[in-house]
Amino acid sequence: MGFAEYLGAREFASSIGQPVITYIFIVALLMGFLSILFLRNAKEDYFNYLIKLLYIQTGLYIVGFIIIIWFHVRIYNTVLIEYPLDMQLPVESSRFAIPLWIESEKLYFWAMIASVFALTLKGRKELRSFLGVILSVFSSIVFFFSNPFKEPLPIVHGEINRWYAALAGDGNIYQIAGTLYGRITYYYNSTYMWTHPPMLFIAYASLIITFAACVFMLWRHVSQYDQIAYKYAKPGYILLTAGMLIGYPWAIEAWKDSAWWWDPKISGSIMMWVLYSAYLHARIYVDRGKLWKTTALLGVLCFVTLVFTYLLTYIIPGIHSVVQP
Amino acid sequence: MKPKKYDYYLIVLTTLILFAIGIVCVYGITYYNYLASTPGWTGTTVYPQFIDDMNSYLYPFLVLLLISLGLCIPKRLFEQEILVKIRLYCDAGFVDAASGYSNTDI
Repeated sequence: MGFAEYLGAREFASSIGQPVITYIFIVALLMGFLSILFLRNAKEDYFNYLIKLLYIQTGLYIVGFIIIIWFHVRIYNTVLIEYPLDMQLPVESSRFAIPLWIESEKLYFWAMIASVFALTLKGRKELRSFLGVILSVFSSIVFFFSNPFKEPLPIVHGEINRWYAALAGDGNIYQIAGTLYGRITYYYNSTYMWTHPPMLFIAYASLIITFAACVFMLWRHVSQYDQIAYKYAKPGYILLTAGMLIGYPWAIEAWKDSAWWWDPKISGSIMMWVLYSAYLHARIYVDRGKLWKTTALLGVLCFVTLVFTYLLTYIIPGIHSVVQP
Repeated sequence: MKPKKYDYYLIVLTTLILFAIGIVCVYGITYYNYLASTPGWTGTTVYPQFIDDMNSYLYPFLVLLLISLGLCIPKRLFEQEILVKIRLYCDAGFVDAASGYSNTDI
């Protein structure tokens, strides 16, 4: 067991996963096309094919996810970090228990859950068609910008490469072991990493439906859309709140004296949370006057802030971010 | 039962306060981005000052939110009848205290 086995598993995951995500992309394009056709002509056949494609796409996402799980299990079984004993770290050896929603896999995970949620939605065919358009765009973004099989886990791969290079005498093993100890203990293997992001991504997936229903509420003025929006906003909000609360003790533990308070991602998350709170609060009087319009607009604005908060990692420097000033 | 008018305005007020907190956060993001143009700024005294500034902008809205939610939430959790009884009990206690009368005297 070692580096060669790990490289073999990585190669295999990539070669099996690439066709799967390509099929997801092709199905997504067909879904987008059929959704637009149905929204224009409202022909029953288009909708029936769309639903079949939605099932196929969700199935493919799950197949891809199983490949990701297999790859992560292989990393756990093949890569062993044995810290030099004289470093006096609290552990002698460690393995990577890598969560299934890091690097390019997070957008994939979000899209997969969104697909599952879209399947749970019943009635209102035009809303489901609109979700077909959203999922089509989403899957295309995953395929082009966040493909987890094109180059699986590049950062983890770099770390594993450096470790084995150091073992072979290329690089300072103490420095690399120290860095890896922090990464493995406070990031990959952290219980928080296994709970905080998935809760948020499941919430985001649920809130996509709230967004779509709010758009239709503004467009069609039918109260059923508001009820659908509310139905999916409730679990979304609960998971969002719980996920954010879990992030707080993790930040204290992992970042200690680092500058994380009022970090852009945290500010963005608070902004998103208060806006969703405002949405749910305003909704109490949704049937009074024109407040339904305000509520639906708030629902759309909330989703804009959600996307903005997600993108903050890539556009504004901070402790959560991948960009530097 | 038709909701009372003040309740509606309380909801609108709470929504506006939440929205205002959102705007404070947008300002925080912009301010952070501006300060981050100086490398290593979080290691200087500018960072604690930034935290203090942001906290000071947030506090008034947090206090307002606590007040508005303090008025809103009990209303949703308890029946109106119970709240009226509590109110009457509190009023009676206040009058008793002002006049030096105690229930234990009975």
